[in-house]
Amino acid sequence: MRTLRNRLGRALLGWILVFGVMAVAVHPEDCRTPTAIEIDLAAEAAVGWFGANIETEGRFLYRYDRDRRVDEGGYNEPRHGGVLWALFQAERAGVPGAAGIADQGLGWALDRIQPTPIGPAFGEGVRLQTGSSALLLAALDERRALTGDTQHDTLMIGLGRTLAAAINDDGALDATIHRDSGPMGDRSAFFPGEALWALARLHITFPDEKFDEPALRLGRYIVEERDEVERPWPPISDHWVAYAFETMDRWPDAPSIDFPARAWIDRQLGLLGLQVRYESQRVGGITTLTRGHNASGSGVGTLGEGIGNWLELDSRTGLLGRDRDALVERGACAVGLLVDRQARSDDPRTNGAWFRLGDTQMDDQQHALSALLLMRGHLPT
Amino acid sequence: MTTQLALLAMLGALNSGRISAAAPVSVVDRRGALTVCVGALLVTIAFFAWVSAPVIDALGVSEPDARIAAGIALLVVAIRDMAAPGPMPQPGLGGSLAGLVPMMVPVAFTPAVAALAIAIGAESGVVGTVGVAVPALLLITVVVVLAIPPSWLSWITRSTALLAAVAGVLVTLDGVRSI
Repeated sequence: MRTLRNRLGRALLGWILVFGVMAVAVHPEDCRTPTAIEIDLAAEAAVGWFGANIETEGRFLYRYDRDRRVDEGGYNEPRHGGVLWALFQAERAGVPGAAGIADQGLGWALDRIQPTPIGPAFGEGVRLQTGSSALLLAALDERRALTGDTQHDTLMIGLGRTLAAAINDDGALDATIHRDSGPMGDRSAFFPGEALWALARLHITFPDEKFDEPALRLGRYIVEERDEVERPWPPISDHWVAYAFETMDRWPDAPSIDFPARAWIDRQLGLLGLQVRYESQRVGGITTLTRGHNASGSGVGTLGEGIGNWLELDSRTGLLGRDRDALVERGACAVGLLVDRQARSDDPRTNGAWFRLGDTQMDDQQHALSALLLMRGHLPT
Repeated sequence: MTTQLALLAMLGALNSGRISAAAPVSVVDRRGALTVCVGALLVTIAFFAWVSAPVIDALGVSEPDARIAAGIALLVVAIRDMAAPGPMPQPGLGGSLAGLVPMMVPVAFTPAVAALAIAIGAESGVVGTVGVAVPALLLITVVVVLAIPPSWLSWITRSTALLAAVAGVLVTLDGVRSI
């Protein structure tokens, strides 16, 4: 016969079991808000990594294994453009020496501008990725804003027209332009956001060139159709579109954020929050079994970039309402993780970089750097 | 978490069918135990809501993650309630104290109720949490006072468990989708 003690003992076991399941599902989050000085030092170290790892012709070390001390080779032109943008952004934010490194890298890119049936495009070989031209364009525009130098204006407008011509009637963007035959009808996850951002920037710099029309068409497609048509599952956070929305809000004729856009933004904010919370639960030890290894610097960096841009947009529009505090907390957590995970070493290929399983790629430093700079002005007081 | 979802989750977590099944058979004891049980639940839920912020801070989790934990706890308890046989009044304390054991502990106050009180409390405060608990406590009162026959109680228990399972999934998703 069951006794009262047995009954309560079984109940206690039940509590332990349920809390065990809860503990597997939810871990403590290792979050802290870094100081502005820590962020500045981390950004300077990241810029230092680019300075130490640029080759004479302007290409950067792409992928490095610190355990074997091996340059693993490879290259990626959209990421080259992204690195240039982050370096010009860093110079504008007050990190000295970043623009000089970017100008070296810009030379490598300008040597690889090729004519195509729809206009000039950046890349090597015969298949040129629209993302390469988009991010180079963003970098050129940032450089123009920084220096006032207009020598690349013709190229910028040309690249913008190429991107506009790669947008289909339904708003979808072709990912690749064949040097001889033009757009190839393929798709990419992140190039649409990159192109949208580049076109949005161009509309501010060259308002008479009418880059707003293709930008709005592409933006509408991204918000209303892309996720369903191109990649229904899993949903991904698109930091480039956050850049684009923030930029479009600075247009003199800024488009209003209607219901489909607002719903899309809310989904993005949820994804960003979830990803930061998940990442902050990766503290090594047993969490490696339940959460896996740390994300790359680019993975965490893109979260900070997305959050930084939505916060910037919110600071002008009040778009986020009560969600702002939570988003500030997540953004601070993301850059806190970046500050804490940045490598310090005597090896110049390691110092200032972010590693995952012993490897770093140049875009780890690019996205982390941009995230640090974007979040610096939005840290909780 | 919306008020409606919090209400749904609390109704599911405080399974009136199971609590009534654990109540004493005698009418006098039953009413006394009901008063003790409902009062103890109210105080306990208010207490957990009150300490929710320091508890969440001490555990190092965010409010959305607290909701995920509450949703999962609710789902686990709901599955148990659907599968396990209903509780009995014995073994337990006698008279009105049966409201504490077995009605309050181990039947009514489950990990799901504790986790929900913390999750809702962190978002809505003590008043908001007690506010969504009151309808569930009223339902418990009605079901216990009416002394519903065991066959009906089983149906109420499993229906409520199904409701709890749905609410558990929704609360978990709410936490997942939150910033």
